[in-house]
Amino acid sequence: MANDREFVDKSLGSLNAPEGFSPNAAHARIRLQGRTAAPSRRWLWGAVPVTAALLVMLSLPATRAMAGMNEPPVSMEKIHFYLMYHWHSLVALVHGPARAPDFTAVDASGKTVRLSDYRGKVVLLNFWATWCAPCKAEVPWFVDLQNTYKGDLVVLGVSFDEDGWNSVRPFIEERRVNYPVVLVSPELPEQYRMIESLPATLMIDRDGRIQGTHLGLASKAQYEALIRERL
Amino acid sequence: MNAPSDTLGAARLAPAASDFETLFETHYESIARAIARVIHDNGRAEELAVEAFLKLSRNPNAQGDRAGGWLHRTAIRVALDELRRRARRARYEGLLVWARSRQPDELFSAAQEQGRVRAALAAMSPRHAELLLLRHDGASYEELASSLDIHPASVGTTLSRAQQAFRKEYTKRYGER
Repeated sequence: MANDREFVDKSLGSLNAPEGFSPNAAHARIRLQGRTAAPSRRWLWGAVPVTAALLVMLSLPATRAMAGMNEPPVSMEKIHFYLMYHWHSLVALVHGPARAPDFTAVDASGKTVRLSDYRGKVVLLNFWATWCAPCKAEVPWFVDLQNTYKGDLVVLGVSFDEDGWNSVRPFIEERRVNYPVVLVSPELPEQYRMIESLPATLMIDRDGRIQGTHLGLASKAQYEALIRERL
Repeated sequence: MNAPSDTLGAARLAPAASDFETLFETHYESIARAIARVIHDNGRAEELAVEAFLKLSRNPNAQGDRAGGWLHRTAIRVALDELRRRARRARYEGLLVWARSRQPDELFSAAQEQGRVRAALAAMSPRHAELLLLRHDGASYEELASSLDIHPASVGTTLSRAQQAFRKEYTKRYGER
């Protein structure tokens, strides 16, 4: 059996950067310039206790009676609703919107697709499979949306089909899918743990942050409203 | 290469903007790669590499001959912070879905060695994780001592404890390899 040092060396030796990683110093330079030019946000830390104190005061019965407010500020129903249906949003409220984990995959044409290459555009990241009926219902909507907002929006499909391109390629050719589709990699479900069922669609803003997660079938109008919010 | 004042806002990067520019040219790529190796996320690795240089620009004492080592240590630290932040977030997000069964893809993914190593690193003490990664990247005992602010004579013992802790954490989660 290996000693502790050998065990650690072997383990850490398995770590490597994602394939094809080529750091872009020019972009980093611009980003660094922007960061050094940005004003300090330390005043925000001072605002936190002041806001907390105001919220506590607002919740006190005496303060509320003086202000003529009879309803409790947050009802149990609302809390329950948020816990049951908006847990991810609640986490996002505490931690801020999550960054969409970056990944690289190859699309049907053999072109390498990297999520972070779409920074600057709104991305609808759609997890789907050809065996999933609701997923298939959404595909024509995504084709339309991609056509309508092609300058600002990228729909990116990630297929969970076990037999890979054998099922996916004929499907996307038949439906004339006009957006990139890639196959799920072993790392993706680990990176996107919020995906518990299909279809699942993530709204990623221009800065690469997840602004919304929808599990299950939604309507085209709902997707369009979400896209317009972010454009 | 442009003059530093055109590229990096040198006025704000006093006292040695030209040195800073050279450091950026020399180390940016290796710093971004070191971070990507730990977090396995290219886009975020580039953002964190910029953070490391931003810290350097705000810390004139770190600039100079040893800036390269300082940058590398900072890169490992920010990468580990990111790894822990993700683990914490995943834990919170999983609180309400404890009853769900794991998807086949998830099980397959969890079986991947890299994911296991990252999970063990995220769970152990930050100092120990930092020590192991820096040592694995070839840092000397003197550099480790200065990085973790410990006496050089204690580095061997601390390193040994860190190795034990990693193995214990890994074995607790995934069994003996």
